[in-house]
Formats: sequence, structure tokens, C-alpha cells
Amino acid sequence: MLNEVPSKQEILKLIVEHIRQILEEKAAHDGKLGDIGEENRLGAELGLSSLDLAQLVATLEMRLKADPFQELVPITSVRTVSDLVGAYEKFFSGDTSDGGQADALLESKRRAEARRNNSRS
Amino acid sequence: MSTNSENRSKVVIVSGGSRGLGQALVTGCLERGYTVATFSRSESPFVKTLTQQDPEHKRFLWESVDATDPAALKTFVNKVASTYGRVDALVNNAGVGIDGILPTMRASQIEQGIDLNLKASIYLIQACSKQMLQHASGSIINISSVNAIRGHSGVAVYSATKAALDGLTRSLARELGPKHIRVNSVAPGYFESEMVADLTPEAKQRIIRRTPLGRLGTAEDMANVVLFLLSPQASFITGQTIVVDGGITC
Ligand SMILES: NC(=O)c1ccc[n+]([C@@H]2O[C@H](COP(=O)([O-])OP(=O)(O)OC[C@H]3O[C@@H](n4cnc5c(N)ncnc54)[C@H](OP(=O)(O)O)[C@@H]3O)[C@@H](O)[C@H]2O)c1
Repeated sequence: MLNEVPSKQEILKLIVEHIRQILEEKAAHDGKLGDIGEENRLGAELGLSSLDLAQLVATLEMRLKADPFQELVPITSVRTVSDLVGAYEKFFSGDTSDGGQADALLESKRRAEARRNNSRS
Repeated sequence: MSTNSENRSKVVIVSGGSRGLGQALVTGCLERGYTVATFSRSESPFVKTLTQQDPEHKRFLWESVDATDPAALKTFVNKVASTYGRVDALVNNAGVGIDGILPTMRASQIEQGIDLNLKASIYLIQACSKQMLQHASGSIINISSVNAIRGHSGVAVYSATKAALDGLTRSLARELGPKHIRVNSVAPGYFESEMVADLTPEAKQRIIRRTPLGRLGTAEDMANVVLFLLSPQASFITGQTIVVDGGITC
């Protein structure tokens, strides 16, 4: 467990370490896993399911004593490793200014866009 | 599943373990070597004795918690996890009878019944499943009722809460199965406890007459099935409602 407010690098390292562990448990990848970078998309590129993400968040809650997703950030707005790191940074920065509303708004825009794209195809 | 092969005491949370079925469950779990954490609003003589026998909470922990307070449930689960290092199983046992016909039932009674029988179970599962996910193993058992399976006049809201638990069981079994967390329900028929203390002797006789096995159940009849579902012998069972009623619903 980390005692003080963790740095961005510490959060990233912890997240990457646990993503690796979850993917190894799932044996989703044959052979060795490649590098995991901030820009990687959790689902599409790394193959994490929403349940894997819940497992990751549960483990991080234990390690960091933080759950940004209860109120601050909607979990559905998290797409990439960097989004995830950002959620914890936001938690530790104490930035509750918008109560996650901006993220929720962004998320609802994304959903609307996806619906429009689907109805076109 | 890693927990089955390990030689340590599994940590089981039982809600409402102070009397009735909860007491039988706590007793059975302790006999089988599990570590048991339980809560109720008030301390019963049963709980007091166990606490005196294990003052350092090596294998038994009781706290006063009102299950209709979601924050208190979360705090309790976190305390259990920090005391024993993990949570392996949850039995959602605390429940209340909600008697009376719906048209004249008070809103406060409806709210209280749903808050305890349904919402408290959901919040407890949410907190415990986070613990279970960390180890990718676990077992959750919801105590339902025969009232969830057959219609009975005068218990409509109670039936609704119990049927809701069975629905929760099936969907959660699918949701959490990939992480080796099993979710099942046990649906008891009538058994002797404070909940059915108001039944008249005639009503009891009627139940016995309709029961193929010719008697009322006991808390131990129910606890035995829960203990089986917790055990490694049940490791391929999930998403099921097991009815324990002497055949009254068959
Ligand atoms: N008895 C039957 O015939 C029967 C039949 C079918 C299903 N069931 C189900 O079996 C389960 C156990 O029933 P039982 O007959 O053993 O009940 P019981 O004897 O009335 O015991 C209920 C337990 O839950 C606790 N409890 C009640 N309200 C609570 C609250 N708000 N917060 C925390 N704890 C609370 C009680 O302690 P406190 O009061 O001190 O809080 C007690 O430990 C229930 O889910 C019930 O619906 C019973």
C-alpha cells in the first residue's frame, strides 16, 4: 500500500502491473504479453472485459485506498490506460469541482455518436 | 479455485447471525473450521457467548450493524477484510417477514422490507464481490423462500423481495462466473424461528399436512444445504435456487 499521495508514474506502474497480472490469469494471450502503454485501449487492444476492469478497480481500491468511480468519474468513460490513470490522479488531486459531470457529459456524447453511427450503417 | 486447495480457514460473512437460521449457519461454519464474521442490530445470548469464547476475534467477529444502512455494510465488510485479510464467502441471511395484504399495507413497512430483504443483500454483495474479485474466487448464497416460487396471499411484498433475490442470483452467476465466484440461492420452506413464531398451531398443522415429508423444517435442515453450497463439493454449481421444503412446492 502506498502511504502518501502517489505520483502519476507510481499510479501508472501499479495499473500496468495489475493489468498484466489479470491478463496472465486469463491466459488471454498466447506467449508473452507485449508492452502496455498509456495510449492502449483497455478493451479493444488489451482485451480487458468490463469484469476484468472491475477486478482491476477492486484491487486498486485496496492498494491505493481510492475509488474514483463511486462518485467522481463514471467507469463507462474509461477507455484507455491513460483515462484510468487520470481518474486516480483526479481523485488524489481532490478535484471534485464538477462531480464527474463533464465526464458523464462526454460519455453521453460518445454514446449518442455511436448510436448515430450504428443507425447509419 | 485456489481457496479449495489451500489449508487456511475460509472467511465467511453471514448477515443476521444472531438467531434463527443465522445462528445455525454461524454454528455450522465454525464447526467446519471457517472463520465467521456476522452482524445483527442487537447482541443475542448466542453471540455474547461466542464473543466471550473468542475475545481476540481469531475466528469469530460480531458487530452491531443495521443492514438498512449501506455505508455501515461497506464499513463492516472492509473491517472483516482488514481483520482477516480477505472475504471468501457471503451468506445473505438477514431478512424480515412482511405480512399483510398489499392494499392496506403501510408504505413504511414496504420500504423497510425492501431495504432489508433486497437492498441490503445487493449492497453486501457489491462490497463482498470487490473483495472476492481480488482473489478471483468466492461463493455467495442468498436466502430466498418458497414464497418466491409459489404464490401465497398476504406475503406479496415479501415474495417480491425473495423472487428478486433469485433473479439477482442467476444474473450475478453469469456476471461473476468468469472470475470463479459462484452465486446460488437457498429457498427454505417454513422452519421454526422467531419469524414464524406468530403462526397458529392450526396454521402449522396445515403446513405439515401439505408437506410430503410430514413435518416442519428446522434451521439445521436449511443450514446443511448452505454449508454444502459453500463447500468444494459444490464447486460446479452456480446460478441455482435450491428449494429445501420437504416437498411442499413439488
Ligand atoms: N423462518 C422461516 O420459516 C423462513 C422461511 C423461508 C425463508 N426464511 C428466510 O430465512 C432467513 C432467516 O430467517 P429467520 O427465520 O432465521 O429470521 P429471524 O429468526 O427473525 O432472524 C433474523 C436475523 O436477521 C437480523 N436482522 C433483522 N433485521 C436486521 C437489520 N435491519 N439489520 C441487521 N440485522 C437484522 C436479526 O437480528 P436483529 O433483529 O438483532 O437485527 C437476526 O439475526 C430470512 O432471510 C428469511 O426471510 C425464513
